Amino acid sequence: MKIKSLTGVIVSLLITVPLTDTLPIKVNAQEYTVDEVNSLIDGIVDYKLTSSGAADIQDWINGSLTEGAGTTSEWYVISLSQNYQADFSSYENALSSYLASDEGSSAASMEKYALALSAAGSSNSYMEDILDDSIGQQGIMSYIYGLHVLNNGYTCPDYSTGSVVDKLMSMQYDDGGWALFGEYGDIDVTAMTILALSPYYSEPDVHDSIDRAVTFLSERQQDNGGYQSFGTPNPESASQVLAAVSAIGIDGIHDERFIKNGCNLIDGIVAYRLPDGSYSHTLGGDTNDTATVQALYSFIAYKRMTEGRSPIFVFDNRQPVSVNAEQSESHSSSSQNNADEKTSATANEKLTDASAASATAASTTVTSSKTTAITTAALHVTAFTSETVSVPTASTIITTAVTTTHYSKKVTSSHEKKPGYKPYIIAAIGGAAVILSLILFLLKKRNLRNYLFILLCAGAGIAVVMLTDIRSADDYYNGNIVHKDNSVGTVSLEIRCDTIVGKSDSEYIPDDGTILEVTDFEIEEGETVFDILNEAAQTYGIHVENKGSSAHGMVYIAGINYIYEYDFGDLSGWVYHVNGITPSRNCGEYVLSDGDEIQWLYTCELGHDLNEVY
Amino acid sequence: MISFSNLNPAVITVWFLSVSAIAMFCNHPVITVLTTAGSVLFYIIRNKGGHFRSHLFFLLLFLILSLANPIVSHNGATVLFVMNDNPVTLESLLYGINSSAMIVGVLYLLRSFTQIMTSEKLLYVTGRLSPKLSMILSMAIRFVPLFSKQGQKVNDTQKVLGLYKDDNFIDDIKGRLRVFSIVSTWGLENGIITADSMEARGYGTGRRTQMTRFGFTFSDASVLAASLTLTALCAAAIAAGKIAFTFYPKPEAADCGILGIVGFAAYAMLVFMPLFIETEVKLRWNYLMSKM
Repeated sequence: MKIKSLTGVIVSLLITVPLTDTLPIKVNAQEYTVDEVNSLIDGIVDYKLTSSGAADIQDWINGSLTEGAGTTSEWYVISLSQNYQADFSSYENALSSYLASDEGSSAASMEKYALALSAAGSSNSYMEDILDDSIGQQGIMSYIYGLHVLNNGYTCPDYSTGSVVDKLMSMQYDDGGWALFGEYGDIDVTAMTILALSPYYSEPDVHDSIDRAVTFLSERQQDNGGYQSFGTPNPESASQVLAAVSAIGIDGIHDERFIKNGCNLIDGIVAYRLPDGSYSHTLGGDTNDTATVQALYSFIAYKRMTEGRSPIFVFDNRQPVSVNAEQSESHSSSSQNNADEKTSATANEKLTDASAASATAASTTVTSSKTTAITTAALHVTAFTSETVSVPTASTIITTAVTTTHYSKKVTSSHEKKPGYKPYIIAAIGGAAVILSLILFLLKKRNLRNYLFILLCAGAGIAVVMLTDIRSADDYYNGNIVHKDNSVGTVSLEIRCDTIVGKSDSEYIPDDGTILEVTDFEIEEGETVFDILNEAAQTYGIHVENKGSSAHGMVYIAGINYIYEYDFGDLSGWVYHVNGITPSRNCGEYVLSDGDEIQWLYTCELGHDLNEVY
Repeated sequence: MISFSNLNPAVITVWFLSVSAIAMFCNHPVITVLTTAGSVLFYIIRNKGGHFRSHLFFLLLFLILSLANPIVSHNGATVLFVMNDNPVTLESLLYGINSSAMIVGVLYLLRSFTQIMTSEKLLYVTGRLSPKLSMILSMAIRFVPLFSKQGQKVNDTQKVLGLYKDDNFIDDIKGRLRVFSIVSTWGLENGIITADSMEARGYGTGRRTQMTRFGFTFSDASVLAASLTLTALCAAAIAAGKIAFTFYPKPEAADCGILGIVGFAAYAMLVFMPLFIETEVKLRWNYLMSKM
């Protein structure tokens, strides 16, 4: 009987495994028509209309999009303005008033606002005002977004399109990609950079650079037509790639370079489509706003490519502004008109028939976009957070959000300080001292020394309060990824306890020994291993107990994640390695430099059970 | 049945040792509550509710010890607030309350012990094992009351000498420090003098005899047997892991089962046994008195 039921189980497993295995990657290659792409776009818009309770697009703009000005609406407005005729004035007013009181937005956020204002047809001077203060202030993202704004014809004294293009090209890695950090290209950042550079595709060196990047992207496409970022398959990366290649006239449906196993780029996105029209970040996941808005504008970008219109971030609804001389030399408005005529004729045909036409359309798109091309880009990070960009990239944020759970990730500035409780406590101590003095006075203990003594005690109390930093649990374990304004690099941190896996049935010892997987953190000048451990504790809600004084660099980590020293013998406790080397310095003294890899490891034998290198 | 304090000193010592051992080696909140309740009640009943200031002192000690633990220990899953990058947790507060209740309970127990076990009884119990040890023990136990008595005397003398004004508590504190220093010097000297004078009287040279005869009656036997049985039951439950409690990172009691419940009941009976005996004796005494 036992053997029978066992074989039954095995057989059913054998049957279900291939089934479940093949279901997600079922080859569902389609030749999408313009109508079908349109219905995908409409599906997303309908989903947003339903979820925001709006009757039509104008209602949506005047309602929830205006309310979300400055926080969640920007990418929707940019997308809508490129595909629908609508009046964005209420949104524009809301964003303008938001920006009037806005201080301390990051560079890339300001550039995003500039783009949204421009998309809404604003004549605000914000777009040109912020350029000098934002380009290059936040790494590669601020160059990419800054270039998008410049591509729209705005100018600033310190930067020209030429200088930013050169800067971006100098940041390309050997593998053809770009990334926020590290040595290898990242899909999303590479796609965003192509989009920003696309108006200059006809210049020989840019042409060469973009071609290498396209090869990089093509090589990394997965079998289902999509992409994965930091090990997680997701639709956002594919959306970025679709928008990017559309900007340089590559057809994401028919171009051989972007068809893998019969699946094209749109297949790679549509695989994540949910029944209600929205998109999820992972297969089988729930609606994800970032995934949805990126799918929306990548489809619109594709549609505009087939229609020969400018790429997604080139706003053709606004009045043309004077264009820099160096850009405007090589093309005329007539070529653009020609392109429009040609493609409008083919726009309603099936794309399969129109591939030849779209090829010509694409090439004209490239030239016309030279003046004012701008395309998709780094929503990935920005739309997700509505704040800033120089974080490991959205995919890592999302991955960590998935694995470390229950802390919603936000990105904040590091120098956020709440007014705090201290004034109240100090006032309470002062009040108590006054009341005590009064009581003594009434009890006729009126010697001056009594009052001196009370003053001394109150002073000591106030000194202790000033020296302690008390924060509420929610405030401390806020789950925010800290963005540092004067970051000098990135370090990675990992917390592991492999030496004790299986030695105890404690629920706080993970089966794989990983308490925090390799995670990147920005560092400021002079930050120590201890500072980054505390930052990780705050961001990912990890329990850490320290003893000693961090102010004097003499601090000892007694426990992490409820695993303490001495829990597994007299020689057990936490030690740290940096770049695989065991430093013989206090973790509060070890000042980090860019690229350092920190590991916190649990040892049971004073470090002899770890690979120690001195 | 005779009064608990009139039992054979060895029986009393066994009872105190077993209760305080279980109380100190088991941190289960139920055990702690039983210890504290039993010992505080026993002390209050024996002293008829007096010693208000010492109760106040123990209350203060309890509060300070409870609040000190979360400041130095930061284990625990429920974070109340974060102080200097260290979490201050509910669990460590609970742990602090539990252990300070245990400390206060055991302190009350020891106060009753010193009241019941006069130095004569103590010498009876330990004298045969080691005269020197029993000497040190009885001197140590005598030391605290002697110290405070002597401190009071010195304090009064200082006041009479006009060394402090009463409108000024800085001088007050200074004066008390001076008294403390005087009394500690005196205490050291007194210890040596006592030892010398005991030696001069021939202490420890031969077999010790007692002035009072401590017989071993049926009451003694039954109390001793009851103490040992109950202690064994409770110890068995603890050894079997049925009475176990972990505070960190989340408070969690082990599944106690039948053996655990038996252990709790045994410990409760052990702790409250002298209370029963004293109450029974008192009631009987009152009854006899009422018939006179």
